[in-house]
Amino acid sequence: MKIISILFFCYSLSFAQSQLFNSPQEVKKFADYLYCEFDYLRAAEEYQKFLRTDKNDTVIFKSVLSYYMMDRFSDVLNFSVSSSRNFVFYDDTQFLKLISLFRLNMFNEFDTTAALIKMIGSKLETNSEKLIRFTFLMRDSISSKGFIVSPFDETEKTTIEKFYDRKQNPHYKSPLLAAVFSSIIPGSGKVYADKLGDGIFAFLTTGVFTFLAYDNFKADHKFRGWLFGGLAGLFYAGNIYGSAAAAQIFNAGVQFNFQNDIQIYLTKKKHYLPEYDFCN
Amino acid sequence: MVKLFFLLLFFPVVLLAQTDWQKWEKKDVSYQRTAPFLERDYSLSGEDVFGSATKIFINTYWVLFSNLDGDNCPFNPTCSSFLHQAAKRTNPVKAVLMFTDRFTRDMNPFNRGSNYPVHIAGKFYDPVELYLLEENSVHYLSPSHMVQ
Amino acid sequence: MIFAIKRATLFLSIFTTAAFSQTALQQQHDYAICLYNSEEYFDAITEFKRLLFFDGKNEFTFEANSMIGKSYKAGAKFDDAIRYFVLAQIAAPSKDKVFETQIEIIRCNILRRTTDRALRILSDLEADPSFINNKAEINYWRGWALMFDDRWKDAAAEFKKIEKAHPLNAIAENINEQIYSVTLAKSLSYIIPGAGQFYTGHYFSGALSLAWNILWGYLTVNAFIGNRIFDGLMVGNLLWFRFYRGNIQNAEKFALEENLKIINNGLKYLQNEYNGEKP
Repeated sequence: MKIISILFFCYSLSFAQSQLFNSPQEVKKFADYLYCEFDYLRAAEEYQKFLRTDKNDTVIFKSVLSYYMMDRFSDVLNFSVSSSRNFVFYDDTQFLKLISLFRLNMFNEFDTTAALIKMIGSKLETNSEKLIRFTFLMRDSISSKGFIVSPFDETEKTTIEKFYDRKQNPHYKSPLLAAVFSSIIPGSGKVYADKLGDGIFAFLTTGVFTFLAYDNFKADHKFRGWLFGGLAGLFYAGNIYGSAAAAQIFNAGVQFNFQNDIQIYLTKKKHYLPEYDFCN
Repeated sequence: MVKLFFLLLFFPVVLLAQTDWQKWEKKDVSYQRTAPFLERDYSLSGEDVFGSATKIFINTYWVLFSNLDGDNCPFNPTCSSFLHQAAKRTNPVKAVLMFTDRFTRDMNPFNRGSNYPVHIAGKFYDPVELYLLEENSVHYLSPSHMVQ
Repeated sequence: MIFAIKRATLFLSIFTTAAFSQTALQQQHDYAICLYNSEEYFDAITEFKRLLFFDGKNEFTFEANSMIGKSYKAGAKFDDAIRYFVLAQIAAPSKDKVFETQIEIIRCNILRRTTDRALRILSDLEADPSFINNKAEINYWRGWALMFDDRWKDAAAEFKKIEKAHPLNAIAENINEQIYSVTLAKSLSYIIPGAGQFYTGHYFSGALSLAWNILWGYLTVNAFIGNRIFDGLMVGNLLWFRFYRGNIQNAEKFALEENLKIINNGLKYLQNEYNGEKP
């Protein structure tokens, strides 16, 4: 109750708040300052405040850029609508929208925006083409190597070719083969699925129990023989199962690493967003 | 290595202002500490016949052995919980196979750090989902990932 | 309710005067303060930052930075709070204000449990001759830092320095007396398996531990006496040693668990029932 009454009063106070600091020009100045301090949310809100009374292309772009810097991609999509064709930063705003769609994995909308960028002959068309190629690498679609590498210059070409090859020929391991291996030599399927240590220990466990079973049968200890024999059988079967599972996990890892390496590469390239120097 | 480099490169910049990138509200911190101790769940609720049998077996094992012989399992969930969860998710045969596989992996003390992601409590995270051998059941987590 | 209305009217009258007060900066300041008082901390920070930005003569540098620090603190964002308190301290107009800001930094350090840092700053303050008159306050906050650092006996001593019958002295003493000695629990279990568990009140676990250790010990010794060296080594290593070590681990765990309960009860009391100044 107390807080509500104070809050109500604060708002009445805000009307009395000096117009000196709240004229559009001052708001913009303050927002620019916040932007350069990496205080992007406050900057974006101040830019929005400015835009309620004024129109300014740079401000629209910088507000969208602020949201982008905070990885708030849905806000980028919301606020990029207000940019119109005759603005200087129109192409840039559209490109920010494109990256955001990319990072939200909204590939259908991505295609629409990419087509628009191409249609208007944007100055960032090459950048957009590069991103399009990455969507091809990330989606279940087949295209030629030449098409994928075409927008990239020499410095990037080899990396992109490697990505393409990794997509076309992922080094998967067959769960079936892993199981077959392990059923022939216990643990070998695990070694095949890149789990050397687990393979050795599986071999040892099965081996030791088999030996104990054999030894006890030889000494005519029937019960112990069956007990260890049973355990050996369990570990043998469990290892076959586990080898198939290990191969499946290995494959999931291959997929994950591929996507992850693309993300890392794109982060390094800043998703082909040009450098904007608004602070110097 | 390269990943680490980039992480380090971006970290200071991100730290600088990330606090205010989401609107936040007043928050009272509790003076109290959180317990880092393992809480056992002995309840039998929501179990079918096989599940209850496994659970009773596991509970007895916990009370008579596991609680008394020290902290020996490097994984989360522990081997006994792994068996129980496997039994719940699949059938008895598959659960036993999964358990023996887990048991073998438990015996391998090498390279755990590069094979399993670390759980927040310092254990290696190794959930049953990875071993169900079902279509799309594997949600891969990188070993460099910290599981909350 | 009446009290709340009185408070609201008080604020109202203060702010009404403030609203018509002198300068634009003052108005901006009042608005920010108003937001702070209504617990709109995020927005308050924006307005204090605006104040700082337009404050060309640095009239409000100390206050605005300090208020930003307080706002972050209210949102439990202690790292940011400390950053701004440090800025405030640099701009502090007097020694008193420096001290005040240092105490704020100490309180943040206590709350984010970097008590070492808090204690170091307190030592620096104590060594500074200009704060010779603030001894009581320094001892008070050192007591709090020590309580958060689980050094209840030292904390009690600090409060005692302020006043013999200081209420926090009694609380800290009381908790210190209740706490189990982890070393004792472990040592007891070293000597007699299960004894540490008995000490912390876990009788069932203690008895079971003792029983297992007697059984495995008996089997091991028996195997060695019967010249079955392999069996003896196996049982001794895989079972006896395992349960013996587990018994010591358990004694430690129970002592820590019980202590945590006691400490948390104490901290809960301090947070909810204690009426004095808190971090």
